[in-house]
Amino acid sequence: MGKRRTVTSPSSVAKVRVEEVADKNIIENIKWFSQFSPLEKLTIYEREVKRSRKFRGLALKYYLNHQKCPSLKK
Amino acid sequence: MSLFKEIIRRFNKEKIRYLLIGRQAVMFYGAPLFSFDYDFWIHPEDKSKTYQILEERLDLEPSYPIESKRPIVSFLSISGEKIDVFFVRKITNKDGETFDIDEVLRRSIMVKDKNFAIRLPHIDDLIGLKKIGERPKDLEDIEYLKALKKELKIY
Repeated sequence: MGKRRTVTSPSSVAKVRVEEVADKNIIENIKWFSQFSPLEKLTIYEREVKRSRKFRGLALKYYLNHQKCPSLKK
Repeated sequence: MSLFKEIIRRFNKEKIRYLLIGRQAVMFYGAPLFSFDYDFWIHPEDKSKTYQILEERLDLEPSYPIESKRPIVSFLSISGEKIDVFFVRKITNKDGETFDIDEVLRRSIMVKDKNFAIRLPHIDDLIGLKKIGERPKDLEDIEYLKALKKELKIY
């Protein structure tokens, strides 16, 4: 009888690698953000929220202009 | 001055027992994460003072009147900003851990910068509070908070 070998499936290896990359990204993001003071962090936050709101509004406008239901069209 | 800074300034001035929870608190700890709403946990005894500030002075529209016994009230600004306020004494998360506002306030920290100061729960309490919803975004916040705890060496 041959020796039993432990085989690691490629998917589990890939999962571990994805998690390692994610952890690395978190640390890098934290390090980048740590250069800012609390007020600077808040300014970045508010600017980002404002930008996202603008794009959300544009996406909604695009959707309303291109969807098929004429009753909702402006 | 932004609405958020104005709210914080008035809460501090009026000595409201508040805690910034949610993503903004995670952001102040040092995670570059963003969301549209602001979340506060406020001592239920300070409910009427909070309504005075948010509804009467800052002209925000509450989702429920002050007489309501609802534990969460959303305040909306004309420009679409949403401030969710928890008026409860205790919160229990999905792990069965209960958080009492007096204890969380006692362990809380004040982040200061120039003339700005904001009260945040201790990082461990914030991790526990993030387990209330356990939505994907909460799990991401928890990952960041754990990494921050390690990076900042907070015990």
